[in-house]
Amino acid sequence: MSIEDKIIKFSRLRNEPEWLTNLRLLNFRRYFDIKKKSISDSPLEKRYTTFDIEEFLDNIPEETQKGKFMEEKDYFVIDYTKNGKLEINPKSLKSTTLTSIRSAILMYPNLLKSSMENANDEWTALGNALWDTGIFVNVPEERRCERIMKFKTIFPEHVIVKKDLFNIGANSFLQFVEYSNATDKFTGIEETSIFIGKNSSLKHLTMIDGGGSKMVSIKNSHMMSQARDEWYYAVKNVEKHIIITNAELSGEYSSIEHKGAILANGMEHYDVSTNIFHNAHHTKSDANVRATLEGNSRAIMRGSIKVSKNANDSNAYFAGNALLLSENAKSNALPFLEIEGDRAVAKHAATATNVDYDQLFYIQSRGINERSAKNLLVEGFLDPVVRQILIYEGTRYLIYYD
Amino acid sequence: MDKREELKDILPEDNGQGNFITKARYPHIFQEGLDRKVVEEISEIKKEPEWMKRLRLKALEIFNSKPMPNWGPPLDIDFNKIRYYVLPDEIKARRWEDLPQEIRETYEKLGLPEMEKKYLSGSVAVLDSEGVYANLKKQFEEKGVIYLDTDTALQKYPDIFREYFMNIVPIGDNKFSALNGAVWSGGSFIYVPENVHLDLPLMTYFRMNIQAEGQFEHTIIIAEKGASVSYIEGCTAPIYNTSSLHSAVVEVYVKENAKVRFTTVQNWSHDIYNLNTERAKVEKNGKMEWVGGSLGSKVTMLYPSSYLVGEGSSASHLTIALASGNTWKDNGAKVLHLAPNTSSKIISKSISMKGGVSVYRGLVRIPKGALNAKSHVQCDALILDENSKNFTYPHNEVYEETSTLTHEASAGKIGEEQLFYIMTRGLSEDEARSMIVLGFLDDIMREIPLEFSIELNKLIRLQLGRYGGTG
Repeated sequence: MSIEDKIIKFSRLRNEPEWLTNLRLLNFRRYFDIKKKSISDSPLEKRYTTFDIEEFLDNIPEETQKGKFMEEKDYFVIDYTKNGKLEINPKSLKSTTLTSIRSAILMYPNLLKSSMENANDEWTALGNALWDTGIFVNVPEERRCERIMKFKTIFPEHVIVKKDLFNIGANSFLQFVEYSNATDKFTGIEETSIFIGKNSSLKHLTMIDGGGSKMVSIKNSHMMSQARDEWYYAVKNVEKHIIITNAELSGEYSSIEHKGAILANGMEHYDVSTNIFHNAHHTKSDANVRATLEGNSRAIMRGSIKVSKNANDSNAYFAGNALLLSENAKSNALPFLEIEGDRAVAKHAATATNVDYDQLFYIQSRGINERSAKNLLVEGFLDPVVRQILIYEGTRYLIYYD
Repeated sequence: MDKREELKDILPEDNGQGNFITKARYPHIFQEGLDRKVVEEISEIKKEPEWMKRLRLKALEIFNSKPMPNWGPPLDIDFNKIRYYVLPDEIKARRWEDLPQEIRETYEKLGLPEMEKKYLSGSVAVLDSEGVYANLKKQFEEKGVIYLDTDTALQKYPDIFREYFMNIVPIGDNKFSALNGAVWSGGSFIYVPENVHLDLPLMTYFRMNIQAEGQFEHTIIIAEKGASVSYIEGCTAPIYNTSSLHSAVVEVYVKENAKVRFTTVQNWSHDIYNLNTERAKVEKNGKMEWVGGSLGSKVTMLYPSSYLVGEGSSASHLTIALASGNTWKDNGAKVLHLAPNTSSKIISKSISMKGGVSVYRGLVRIPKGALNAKSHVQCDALILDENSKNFTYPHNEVYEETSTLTHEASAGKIGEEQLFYIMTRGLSEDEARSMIVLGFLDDIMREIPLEFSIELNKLIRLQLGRYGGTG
C-alpha cells in the first residue's frame, strides 16, 4: 500500500469530508515538492537535515487518537495517553470556545482550509497531511480574555501528529500558557496555526519538557492589520527537536515578538528556524533565539527574514545567541536576510561565546558552587524568556540544569 | 643571461611563443567548445612538461563529470559557445571605436591617462612602462623575489611550481576550479624568500606588458617565513573582454610569520560570468588580508577563503560589492579556523541599485580544538531603489567552547534622518545621497591603496550619477 493510499484510508476511517482528504493528499505531495532549488541553498545545507521520515510514517497509528480533556485546578489538562472526549465548555471561558479540532471541520471549515493551504515548509506540509488530533480555540470578536488560559499537554508513548488551531476575532485579546510533557517513547509533530484578527493581540508562553522524545514543533501565525503576536518559548530535554516559526505579517502595522530559550544537554539536537515574511507596510518583527549548550548537544539557529516590496517602513530584527558550556557543544547560526526594495530596515546578529570565566570566578568567590554559579549565568543569558516565565508562573523551574 | 635577454622572454613583442603559431597548425583552439584536443594544443603551444599536460587532461575529465552547482545565482552558460584559449595578440587587436559607448564614457570620466586608456581598451598591446619595470625587476632580483607571469614561471622554476600548483585549491574542488586547471593561461607567480619585506606593492599595473590577463588566469603567491608582500591586481576601469566567462584561481601560501595582502579590484563589462576560486593557507602567526572591490559583470561568484592552519594565524576579509543594473553579485568569504588562537574578521559592504541583486554568502567554521579562536563577521547592505534586492546568507558554525564568534548585519535604505540632516546643511538630495553611500563604504575604502581608492570613489560617484545623484 502506497503512502497516499494509507492517507486515504486514514481519512475514511475518521469519516472526514472529501475536501479534507484532498487537502491532506495535496499537502503530502507538497512535502516532496518543497525541496526545490532555492537561492538560499548552499552546499553546506544538506548536512543539517535530520529525522528519519520513513520510520516516522510507518509508526503512525491507524485508529484515531482522541485524547482526554480534564479540568484540574487552574489548568486544562489535555492527556493524549488516554482515549476520551476532547471537549470542554467550562463557564469560566464565557463565550470562548475550547474544543477538539475535529469540531472545527464542521464549525469553521473555511478557517481550517486556509490553515492547510500554502504550507511554506516541508514539516508544515507533513503535519497538515497527517494530523489526527489537537485542540481548537475560538475567541470571538470584541472579547478581551483577562484570565490566562493554562494548558497542560501530556504526550503519549507513540507517534502522534497534532494540529492546534487558534482563531482570535477582531479587537480581542488572549493570553495562554502551555506546558508540554513527553517521555522518550514519544515522536511527533505538533503544529499550531494562529489567526489573529484586526487590532487583536495574543501573548503566549510555551514550555516543553521533552523527556528525551523526538519532536517537530511548528507555529504558523497569520496576522491581520494591527495584530500583535508575542510568543515566548522554553525548551529542554528533547533529544531531537525541530522548531519552526512561520510568521506572515500581511496586515499593516502588524507586529511580532518571538523569544526562545533552549537548554540543551547530553546528545540533544535542536534545529530552530524563524521565518518571518514582511508583506505589508509598517510591519515590525523582533525575534531572538537563545541557546545554552551543555554536554554533546548541538543547536542550529536559522533565521530567514524576507521583506517584500510592499513593506514600506518595516523593521526586522533577528538574533541567534549561543552560550557554549561544554567543550563538545556545537552551535550553528544561519541568519538569512532577503530584502527587496529600498524602504525597509532589516538587521540580524549572531553570537557564540563561552561562559565568561571572570564572572564564574566572581560568583564562586561568593561561596556559590560551580553548578549553581553556571546556572545563574545561564539564567542571565536566557533573561528575555525567564522574565516572562516569572511573570506568569512565579517559578523558574524550567530554566535550570539539574 | 643578461637582463635585456631575460626581458625578451617575458615581453610579448619579443616573445617568439605567440608569433609563429598559425591557424593551420592548431586548428582546434580557434574553435568554440572544449575537448581533449583543445587542451592538448594549449599545452603544446605553451611547450609545457608532460605532467602539466596530464594534469590539464585530468582536470578536463573532472570538469566534465561535475554537475553545475545546484545552488546560488542562475548560471546560464553554454560551455560550447566559449573559446577557451585566445592568442595574446588577438586579445589586444581591437580598435578604440569598437568599444561600447558606456565603457568609453567611463574612461573619459575617470580621467585615465591616454596610454592606459588605449591599453585597457585593447587598442594597444604594450604600455610603455619598461623603465619602471626594469628598475623594479632589478630590486626584486637582488632580494631573490620571483615575480613572473605563471606560464613563464612554469618554464623557469618547474620544481617550486609543481609543489604549489593546485595544492590549496585542488583540481576537483569545484567545477570551475577544474575548468581553470584544464585551460589555465596567464596569471602571476610570486615567490618571496624568507624574511624579505617588499615595501612597494606588486601591481599587475607595472607589468601589464606581460601576458598576465586573460579569462582563465592562475595566480600563485608564496610568502616564505617572515616575508611580507602586498599584491594588487585588476583595475577600477571597466575591462572589456571578448569572452563571456572569466574563471580564475588564486592560491596564496602564507608561511610562518609571513604577511600577505591581496587586493583585487575588478570591474567587468555587463555580459560576463565571473566565477573565481580564491584561497589562502595561513601557517603559524601568518597574516592574510583580502581586500576586494567588485563592480560590473553579469554574475559574480566570489568567495575568497582563508584556511587558518597554523597557531596564532589571522585573516581579514574586506569586500565592497556594487550590483548595478542587470547584475548578480554573489560575494562572500569563508574562513576555517583549524588551529588554536586564530582570529578572523570579515567585513562586507554591498550596494544594490537599478535592479541589481547583491548577495552575501559566507562561512565561518570553528571546529573543535581551535582553542580561543575569535571571529567577527559584519555584512552590511544598502539598497538604493525599490527594484533592487539584497540577500544575506551567513553560515556560522562553532564547535569549540573557548571560541568567540560575533556576527552582525544590517540591510536597508538610506536613513531619512541622515538625508535630512545633510540637506539642512545646504546640499542637494543627490549630493547627500552619494555622500552617505561613500560614507557607508568608508571602512573599506581606507584599506584600499590610495590610487585605487580615488578611482573607485570616482567610479561609484559615476554610477550614482547615472542613477540620479550628481556625485
